Amino acid sequence: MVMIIGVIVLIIANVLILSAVSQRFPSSGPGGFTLSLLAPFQEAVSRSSRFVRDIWRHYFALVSTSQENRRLQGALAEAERLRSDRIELAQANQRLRELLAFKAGMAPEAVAAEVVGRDPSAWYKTVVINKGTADGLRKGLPVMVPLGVAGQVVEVSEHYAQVLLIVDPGSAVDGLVQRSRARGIIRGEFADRCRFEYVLQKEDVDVGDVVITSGLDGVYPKGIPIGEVTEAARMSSETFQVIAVRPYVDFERIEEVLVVLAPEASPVQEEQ
Amino acid sequence: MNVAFHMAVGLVLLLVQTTLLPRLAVAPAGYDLLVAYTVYLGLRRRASEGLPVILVFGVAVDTLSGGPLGLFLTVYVWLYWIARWVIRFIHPRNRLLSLLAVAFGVAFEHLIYMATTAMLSTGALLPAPTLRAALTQILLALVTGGLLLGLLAYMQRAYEGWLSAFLVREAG
Repeated sequence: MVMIIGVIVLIIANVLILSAVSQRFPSSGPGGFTLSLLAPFQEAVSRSSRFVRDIWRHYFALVSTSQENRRLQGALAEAERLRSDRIELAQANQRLRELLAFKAGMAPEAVAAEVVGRDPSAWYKTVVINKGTADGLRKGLPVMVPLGVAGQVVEVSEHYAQVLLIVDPGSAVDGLVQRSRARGIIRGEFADRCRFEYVLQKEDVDVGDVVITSGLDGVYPKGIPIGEVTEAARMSSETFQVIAVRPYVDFERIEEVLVVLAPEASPVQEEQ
Repeated sequence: MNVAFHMAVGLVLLLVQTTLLPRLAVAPAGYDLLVAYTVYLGLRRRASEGLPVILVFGVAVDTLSGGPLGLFLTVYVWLYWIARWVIRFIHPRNRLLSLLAVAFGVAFEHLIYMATTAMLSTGALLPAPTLRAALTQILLALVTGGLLLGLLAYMQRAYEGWLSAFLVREAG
């Protein structure tokens, strides 16, 4: 009994120490090394699973149809596979065009990357992308998709990088309500949604308002869409409003992203 | 050789968890497979085989995750220690233990997440969907944990059988 209590006390002490000394993303350490070690495997598995998924969607699903018309079905399946391939290519083309158009609309230079891995835990929201220092990436760079802000590079190796998504509880983005220009901080929650914090009671914020980046955090360019206000409440006892924001980006489905290569990192960013 | 085998199995589980599971519709119900492996190593394998694997994958998962650095290492090491402690009193192949061990591991992991989150005071609330997902993971671990431990034990036996045959062939 004494031992069990002792172990529980030790575990609590361990968690306390973890909370006290823990740095989410230290500027040096095993992060980049582990990333460069594991990410190639993640990329290989991701690509293989996409390939298998396409095969499954475009071919096997059709082959399992009627036995009587096997020959015709085979030809049809082949035609359908080619057509689906074309649609898939067209969609990929469209997505990439949107990325390019988005990229062209952005003043700074940007690098397109594929998502090759996701966070092993359901509680935190990071992804691994297949671009790294060799492509000009470094810590602190903003990551976008055509719909809006995705996150920020927090760890980088030569060919891979880890991106902290804006829905992660450790993420913070300086935001602005497009209509009323009310300012606040967009913070991630454990679900795929955000809170808009530190917005004063006097500010005018309504459900349906669009929140954009303010550009004041020194990370994200100004005016990039973040999401839409889904809840806005004024509690008389609180200094700030309680505001929930639904991001425009579907973080469960992002496959490609753009990393904006800012001209030079500020000393603060370098420290991060 | 056994450590290399465990490293390979751990790597496969980690890759499944970070690349394949998130693509499935049931992704939120998918629990940490390395918790199951930690439990397996703690219950069924020697410390000289289990500990290096736990330490390596604790650090690996920590660096791949957005959580506080050291969180997964903490979870795996304590869970491993608890499993080693439990088998001093209960036979490692006890059916009830096999059924409950992984679910306990998943629940323990969520408890440590929640405790750390509360102490880090990020201010983020634990919303109902996340708590529901945690509960679903524990229930799924309760249903599949015993099977997973059985599968891991089967793979171990198959590997050892293959290794013995290979060594005999090489010697002969």
